[in-house]
Amino acid sequence: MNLALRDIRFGLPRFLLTVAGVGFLITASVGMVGLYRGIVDDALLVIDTIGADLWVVQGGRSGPFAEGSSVPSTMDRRVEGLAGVASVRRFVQFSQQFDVDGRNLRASITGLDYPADTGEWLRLSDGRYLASGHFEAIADASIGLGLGDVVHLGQDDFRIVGLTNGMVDVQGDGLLFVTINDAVDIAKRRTDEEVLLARAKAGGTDAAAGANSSVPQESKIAAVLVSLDPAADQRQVAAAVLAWGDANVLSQADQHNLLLNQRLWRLRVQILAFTVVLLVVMAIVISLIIYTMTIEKLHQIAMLKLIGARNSIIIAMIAEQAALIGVGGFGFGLVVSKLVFPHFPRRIVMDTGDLALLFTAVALICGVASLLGIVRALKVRAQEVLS
Amino acid sequence: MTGAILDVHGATRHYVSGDSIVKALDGVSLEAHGGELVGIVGPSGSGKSTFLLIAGLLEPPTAGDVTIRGQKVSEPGANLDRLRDFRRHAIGFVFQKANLIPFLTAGENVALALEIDDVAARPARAYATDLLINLGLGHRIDNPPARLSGGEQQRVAIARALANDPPLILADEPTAALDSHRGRQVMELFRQIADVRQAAVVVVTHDPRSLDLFDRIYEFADGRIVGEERSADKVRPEAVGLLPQRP
Repeated sequence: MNLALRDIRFGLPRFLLTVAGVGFLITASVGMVGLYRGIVDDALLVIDTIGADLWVVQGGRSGPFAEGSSVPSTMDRRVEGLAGVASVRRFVQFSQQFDVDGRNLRASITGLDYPADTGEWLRLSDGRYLASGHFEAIADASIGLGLGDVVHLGQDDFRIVGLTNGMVDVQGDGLLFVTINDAVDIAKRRTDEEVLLARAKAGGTDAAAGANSSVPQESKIAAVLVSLDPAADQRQVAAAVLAWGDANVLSQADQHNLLLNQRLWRLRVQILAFTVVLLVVMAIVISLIIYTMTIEKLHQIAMLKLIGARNSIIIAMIAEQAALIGVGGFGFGLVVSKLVFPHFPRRIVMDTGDLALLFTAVALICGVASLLGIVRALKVRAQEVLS
Repeated sequence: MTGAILDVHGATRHYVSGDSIVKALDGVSLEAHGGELVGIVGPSGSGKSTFLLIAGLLEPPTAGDVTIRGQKVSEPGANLDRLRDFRRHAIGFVFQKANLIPFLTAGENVALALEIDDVAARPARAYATDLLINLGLGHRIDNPPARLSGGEQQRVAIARALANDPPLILADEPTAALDSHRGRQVMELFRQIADVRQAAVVVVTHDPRSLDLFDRIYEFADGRIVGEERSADKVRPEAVGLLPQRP
């Protein structure tokens, strides 16, 4: 006779509520860890998928993700001439808000160096890559635009010809890909007040305003992406760029490091701290639930001892219930996570490794809690039935 | 009547309370034979329940010893937790409260005692059903304790005590929570258990209405036996089928 299952059957609604409570705690933990993973994945998305060996950026800066970067739009020609460079692409990215059919939308405009780059490194969910040098765009679905939609950016209308999924920038804004020339034109568009303020700050000239700024200005781009020949020495190419004095060069690993350990450092630590707090709360709550369930049964445990039940029967009852709460809660938490998190505004990455670790943690918590309950149960004396 | 099933010899139980020593039991010797219904009466604090704890191997005596079926099983300092298997086979307990497991049905409560003794689930359940039918609870087998009356709960507790066919039944005020009619029914059941199963049944009771059923009645006071009464013309209620074949 399985006493654990009989007890659960007897108090099924209570057991289900307990499992649901534990499950929601696990959902919150999955969400917190997944949010962290999502932010890191989103931050590295462009760097990892765009396929550049080196990023040539504004001198003295670590742009364009960790800091602003602004280099002349002709910088790519200089870089292209270096020995060991196979190809170059110009890159620009900036946030933009715009209205479509009365809706206020937000996107991260990202320039593709058309025709060398039509966006074929993107994974489209619908539509096609860029086929024209102007007025076409590929949008991430998270922006809220559909295939064929027309959006007014800068002074021009752009037709959405392709859609991607899950391509966002470090802030979670969906990426909107246009040609680099269109992107520069969109960036040029400033209000009269902006122009006046920039002039006033730089002594009255447009040229001065652009030269000292680290944000995209007229005819400026953020970086030049470099693909090297297979036999090229990356250090030599980097040294050549640094020798110019007006440019800095970063590898893919440098970009990773800058994003994760500088720009996102505080956010990562914050989320990890919340995750740790949540795990501690989860551990305490699950432990209390399991321990309390055992304490409530001390009279029955004394009775079992009185009628001669071996310790193994009592241990099995406590351990099986703890395991069922843990496994049931974890399963419930996963199902809720799968159903709910896709509707969250930021991407929640449910990594198999993280889930395995979380399951191990839950199993450990249940194990320790049931062990405490078992120790207490084994101390119960049969004569306590009479108390 | 067969030989002594229970032989408590010189049982003493002292408790230290602050600077003083409380003598809960003071050199009590008592035998109970197979087929005997033995009553223990006395005021509160006279040592009745302490005697039952010592006889039931739930407390070791401070002095004296307990022999069950010729085997000395408890003496001062005995590790009674190790006697759990022995207790399971040798002693059935019934208390004032039925102490049924609330999450098991009446049938499961009885079958549990058998399954704990490694009887397979199906025969255990069949035997539990037979026992409960014989005790007039055939219609309550699948009911949880909460749906049974006090008398029915107590009869289930008796069925559980009988499940392993123990030679000794110890009952501590089993009728205290029942009305006179149901109390009498329960006491008659103990009488039948002694007669039909040839078990030694020792009952601590405050209830004077059923004393006519007992073979012997001991009176306790201040931890000692202060009187013994033997009944020559005890009432023998009509026996019910209390001997289904244990698996």
